Amino acid sequence: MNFLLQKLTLFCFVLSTLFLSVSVDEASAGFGITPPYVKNTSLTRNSVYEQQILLVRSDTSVAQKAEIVVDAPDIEDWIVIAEGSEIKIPQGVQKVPMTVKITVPGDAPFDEYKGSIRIRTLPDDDQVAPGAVSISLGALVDIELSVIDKQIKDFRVRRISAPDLNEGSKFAWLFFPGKIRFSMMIENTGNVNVAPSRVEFRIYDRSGKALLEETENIGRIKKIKPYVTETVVAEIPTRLPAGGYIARYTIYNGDEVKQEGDLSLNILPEGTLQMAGFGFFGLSLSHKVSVLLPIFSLIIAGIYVWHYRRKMKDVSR
Amino acid sequence: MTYHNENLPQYVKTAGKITVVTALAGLLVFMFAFIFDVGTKEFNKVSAGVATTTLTVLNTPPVFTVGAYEVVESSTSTPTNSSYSIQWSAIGTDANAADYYLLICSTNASPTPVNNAAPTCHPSNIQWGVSTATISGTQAYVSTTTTEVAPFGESNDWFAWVCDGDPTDPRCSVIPVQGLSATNSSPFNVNKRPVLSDFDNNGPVDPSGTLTFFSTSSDPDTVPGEDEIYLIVCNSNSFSTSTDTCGGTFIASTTISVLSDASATYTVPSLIRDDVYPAFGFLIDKHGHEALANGLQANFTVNNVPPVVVGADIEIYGNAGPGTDLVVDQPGAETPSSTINFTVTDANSCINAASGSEFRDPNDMLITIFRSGIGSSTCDGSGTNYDPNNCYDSGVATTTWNLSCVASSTCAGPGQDYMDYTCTFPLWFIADPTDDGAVTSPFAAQNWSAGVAGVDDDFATGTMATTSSPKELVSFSSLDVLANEISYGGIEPGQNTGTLSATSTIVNIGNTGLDQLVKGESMCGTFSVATECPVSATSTIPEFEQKFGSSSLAYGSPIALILASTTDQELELDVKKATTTPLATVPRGITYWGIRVPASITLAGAYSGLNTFTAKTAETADW
Repeated sequence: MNFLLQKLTLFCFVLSTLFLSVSVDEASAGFGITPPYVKNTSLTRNSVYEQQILLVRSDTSVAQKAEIVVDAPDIEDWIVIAEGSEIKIPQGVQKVPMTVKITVPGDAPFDEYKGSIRIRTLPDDDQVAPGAVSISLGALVDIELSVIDKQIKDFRVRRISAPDLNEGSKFAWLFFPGKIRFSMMIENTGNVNVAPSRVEFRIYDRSGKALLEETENIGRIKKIKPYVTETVVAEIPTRLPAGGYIARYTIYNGDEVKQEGDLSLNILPEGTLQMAGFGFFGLSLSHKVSVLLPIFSLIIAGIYVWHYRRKMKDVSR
Repeated sequence: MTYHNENLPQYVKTAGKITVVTALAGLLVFMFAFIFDVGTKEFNKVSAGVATTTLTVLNTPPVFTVGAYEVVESSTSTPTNSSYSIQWSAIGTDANAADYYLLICSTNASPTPVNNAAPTCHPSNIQWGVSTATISGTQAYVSTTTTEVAPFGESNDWFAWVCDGDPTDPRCSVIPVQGLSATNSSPFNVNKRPVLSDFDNNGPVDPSGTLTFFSTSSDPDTVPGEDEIYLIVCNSNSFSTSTDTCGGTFIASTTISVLSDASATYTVPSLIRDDVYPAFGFLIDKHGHEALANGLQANFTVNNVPPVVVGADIEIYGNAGPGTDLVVDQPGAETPSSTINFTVTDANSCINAASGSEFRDPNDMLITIFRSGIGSSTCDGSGTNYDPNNCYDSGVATTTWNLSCVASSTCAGPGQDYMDYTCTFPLWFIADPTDDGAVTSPFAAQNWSAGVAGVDDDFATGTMATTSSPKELVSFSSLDVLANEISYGGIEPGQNTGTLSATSTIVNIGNTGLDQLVKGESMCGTFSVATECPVSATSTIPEFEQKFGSSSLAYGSPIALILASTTDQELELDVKKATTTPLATVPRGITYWGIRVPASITLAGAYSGLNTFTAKTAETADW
């Protein structure tokens, strides 16, 4: 009888325990990631690619940590989480970045690779509610990579701007044009260093009807490393006087037009801004020749005189 | 007596002697008469005896030393404007050194000299003028002021005399003079004023537009033909008659040759405030003679034109800073602090005539952020098509979309035609992603753009421009789990729940379709994240005793998924992307749970565990 009573008591206790424990805790705070993927289909051997993923939550009242597990058997050793396998999310903090760094080995087969990164949020103090099944939220980062043996030279223009500039200036007969510093935020979406090959400006009056000048950049534009986003500047000469204009710009990658559009351009009277304009390289061809020709002539004359005197010296000996 | 050449030397010798003797004889006679005063008495007797004679030498007329001429040429090509003076000059010389007068008459009829006074022209003549008495041999001047009435005609002959005012016998030169050269000779010409009777313009006009000023005007001259006339337009009623230029600011003038109704065209500056501007018309003929009615006023109006925005002057970016893609990163809520910058230009300048802003408050401008597939013709700023999935439109109240704009530049004056603005705006978590991730968004071929149409102080609205640098909106996988009471009912150790009867509900609070991955830990009384349950048949319920599915299956169903602690189990819930923002309406997915309590469990107490729900981006078809 005692044994029976003892067993009944235990049964009731276990039953009640189970009843409590399987009830899900109060609503968990939302959790998400953006973007939910690491994708690059233009990787080359030995290339390094970084992508940042933002981990966000809606309830910041408790400290948490994010447990990171890379699940990509073929490429696991290519992948490094810069912040480590556990990222702290302190109390009051809503967003934390997670940087995924992909380093492609030099002997990686040219292929497509897939995998995932699993992120799980956990209480920072490791404690869970007693007598309950706690809920942990997580998110899955899909990995999709391709290693290719082809050079891809491509970019995306993320931002452009052309700040105000001084009009050109005259010195003696030489006209030094104004310098448009056309700034472009370029994202290298290829796998080799890249820069816009050419930037053209067609400058119109403010109404956009009368074409006043066609010009393009002078000199090379700085190249950007693969997978990097950086701002580069194209220096474009203009001989227009002070005033407001509309510039129709075209950014080229080789023969391909990467972006074109209309932009306000304000040219201020000479000396308004403390900015240097173009020097010798901004001069027109004829003006350059007018400077260089006398210099070259003098050099040639000097060489001739030197050569002649040397010759005469040899003869007198 | 005959002359023989051969005797020439003899002749010379003889002639010289006779000459010398004769000369000496003459000299002796003269010296004798001189020394002894021979015949003095005889001569005196003769003088006293002869009668006295009288002679009156008459006055002679002065003569031109330098002939008369027009000091300033007056001809058909260079006439003398009416009301201006014409002047002649000459130098006369009088034999008696008396003063003289320069007289200008209209014909060659002899003038009338006057005693002790200036001469006059013949009575049948017009006397153009007579100088004051001028000292002989010095320059005389005479002038007359021309008029547009008789006796002045367009062409007027003149004849000049010099006369003296001798008290007894005044005389004038006999032959008149009409000038010295072709450019200063008779006749002189009088240029009449052009006639201006009306002045108007064809305004109003836009900045950069062409305004024409008209006049009703003519010129009465006929010699040698009608004069060309010119209309000059000034911004004030001030005109220099000496230089024929505006006293104020020149606006326009006739540029072609016209004989009547002169007009002038004016290209209005490309940057000018909408306002009424003063304009005064001045008419001159080709000789610079002004119309009497000059200064007629015909103000012109410059229209208000709508502001202009161009594509590359619109920039949008996400809350990570300039150049970045748009993101939503607030689970189930609005993500603040995305930015749109833009520049608005206005040909009426940035400041209006009342010194206020030419532009409306930026919050009153038409600003839209939209998925490119929607377009600015739908998401047009009216607010009609606002949709948090794909069209954010300033036409709605800020309680619906809290777009907040401020000026980021200042207006330096009427010479500036632009203003820069920066706005921040929120995006709902359901905004359609357009990136091309591992799971391709249904909108991966599109992007997010921004449209802006400026509105000015007169409520003129420009054409909506869209940005030249659209951005992607990045996918956001996010989930929540609602609170659920899962009751398995009475389960004896060794029994299970029979079916998957308990539930948990996940909510899709991101902008992708969602599937769910599930894994869990064993349950025991001592569970913590750091210290998992020990393997114990009596005190630990292993994780695999829990099963789950997307419907209420039998616990023993082979398609019920078994919870694992190391491997995520994917449950194809296919929770669609939300399309409305209230969380009560957000798509959700239910997971059904069951459990078996092992028969070996003997330890009483509270059992704890941890189940993990992982958001997985659903396949594109399941969005």
